[in-house]
Formats: sequence, structure tokens, C-alpha cells
Amino acid sequence: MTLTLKHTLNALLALALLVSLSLNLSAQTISPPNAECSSKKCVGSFTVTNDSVVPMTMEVTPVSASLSSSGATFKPLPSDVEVRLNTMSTRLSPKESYVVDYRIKCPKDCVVGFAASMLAGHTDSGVAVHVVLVHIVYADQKGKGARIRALKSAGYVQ
Amino acid sequence: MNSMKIKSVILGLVAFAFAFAFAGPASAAQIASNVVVIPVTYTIPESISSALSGGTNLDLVAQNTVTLTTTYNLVAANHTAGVSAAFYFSSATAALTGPSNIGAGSVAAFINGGSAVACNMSDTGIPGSPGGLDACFNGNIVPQATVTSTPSGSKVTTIKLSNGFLGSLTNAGTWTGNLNFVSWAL
Repeated sequence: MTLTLKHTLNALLALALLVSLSLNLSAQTISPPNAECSSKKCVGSFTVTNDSVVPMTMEVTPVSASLSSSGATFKPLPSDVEVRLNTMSTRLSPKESYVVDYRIKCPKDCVVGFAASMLAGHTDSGVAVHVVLVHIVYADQKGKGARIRALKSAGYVQ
Repeated sequence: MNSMKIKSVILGLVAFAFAFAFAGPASAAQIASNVVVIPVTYTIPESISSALSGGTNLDLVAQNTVTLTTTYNLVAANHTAGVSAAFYFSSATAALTGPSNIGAGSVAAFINGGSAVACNMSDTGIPGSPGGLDACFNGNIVPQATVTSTPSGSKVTTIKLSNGFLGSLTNAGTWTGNLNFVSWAL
């Protein structure tokens, strides 16, 4: 009798866990969200983690970030900015972290974003649903503090 | 006698070599040299996460509410800027049929309780939409001042899809594309 009760409780617990997991459909983490470079050639990396319990395909798209007093907008990279990545697409197992290495070459100050996109699933009508996090790199040639200089210059911070 | 001495010296050296090779934690100098692998990049251990949930599984049906939870762990001393999120529809195919853009009211009717705003893909970015579809949300979910004072926390962005949304997208063979939920920190 006690055994049956125990089994029932275990089943209920498993069901509750399953429900909570299914509600939290997709999650990912990017770290760090920002980086700075102080030379024409910028080398760095960021980590993307698949926090969900299902495998996910990740795609990385380099973009140019334009700053203004209201925030950032993202556009395709201009032709004079060169970006190299160790990968543009990979598959992440549940809870797996992946380090994306990049190299940026821009002739002057630039702000580059790396949009790490994971396919979370599809709607009933076949539309893909993506969760995207952006790693933003601030590059200038004036030493440490490129991020604040760029944000101040755009009027986003005082 | 001499050979004994030599033997003990050799044994001592071997023991020292083993002790050095299998020493537990790396010295400060070793750690520092590892960190300086990327000499021109300054990074601080911060992160942002996002989680998407809503409806049942991924049935993003009309009038369903979808929530995007953005969790941030930033360093106040370094971070004086805000956290933002965007929601938009994009397509990698230029040959979309149907209307050239989807009106804001047809896509995301309500975001955080307010009305969605129409904005241009060229303004909101994240390329991949040659079709130039509008209909997106782009704005600060965590204002700059909040991040400065509370560098760790989370914010839920609620997106309610309108009736017209899947009505447009489910036209057979008409729409292919992506729903994108984007988060970033400046």
C-alpha cells in the first residue's frame, strides 16, 4: 500500500517536472554580452549556452550595430569591416556551452554584434521560432573604455 | 658511496619533478598567462539569458500570450546601459507573396500591455529579411537607470499575438519565415 503511494507520488513528481519543462520551451545564455577592443584587429570570444533540455541548432550572424540616444539598431556589416568566426552554425546538446571565437578588422571605430540564434521550434503553421541573444563588441583605437566612449558619443549615456 | 649519493640526488630530482608536474592549482603567473591569450579584448564575466514560453508547446495561435523572459547579470560598475528586446518576423526568401509588409496590428497586437509599433527592418536590424517585412517591437525592456542600480534581475516581455497574425501566415504556401525574439545589453 505504502509502495503504491510512493509510486504514485513519484509519477506525479515526474509529471510536474515534465510540465514545468515543457512550459519553459527554450532558453539560452550568452556571456559576456559585451566586449571591447583597442586595436584595428580585434580578437575575442563569447560563450553561448543551451539552457534547455533539448538539443538546439545555433547560428551566429555578424551584424553592424548603430548606436543612438534611444539604443541600438542592427544592420548588415559594411564592406570595410571584416569578420571571421570559428563557426557560423553548430548544434548544441542540452546544457552544452560553446565558445565562439571571432576576429574583427575595421578601419576605424566600429560596433559589431554577433547574433546567436537558436531554433526553439515551429508554430503549427510551420513558422520557425528563434530565440536570439547578441554579443556586442565595441572597437576603437583609444585603449580601454571603448564601450563607454561609444555610448557617450551616441548620446545613450551621459 | 659516491654512487649512493648520486642515486639519492637523482631520486630527489625525480621527486621534485613529479611534485612540480602534479601540483594542484596553477600558480598566479600561469593563470595570468592563460588569460592574456586575447590581449586586445577586455571582458567582464557578465551574461544575459532569455527564455521563451507560452501557449501549449509552440502553438503560437492567435490571441495566445507568449512571454520572453530576459535575465541579466551585469556588473554595475561597468554597466551603465540598458537591456533591450525585440520581436519581429523575418524571412530569408526574397520572393514572398502577399502584402509587402505586415502591419503592426496584424502581428503582435499587444506587447507589455500596450500596442505594438510598426518599424522597419532596416531600422531594427538583425538582417535576413530581404522581403523587408515590417511589424516588430524594438525597445528597452530594462531602462538604463534600472540596470545601473540593479545589475542583476529579470524582465518579462509579454507578447500577445493578434487574430490577423496566423491568419496571414497560414495562407497556404504564402509565408515562410521566422519569428525572432531577440535580447541584448548595451
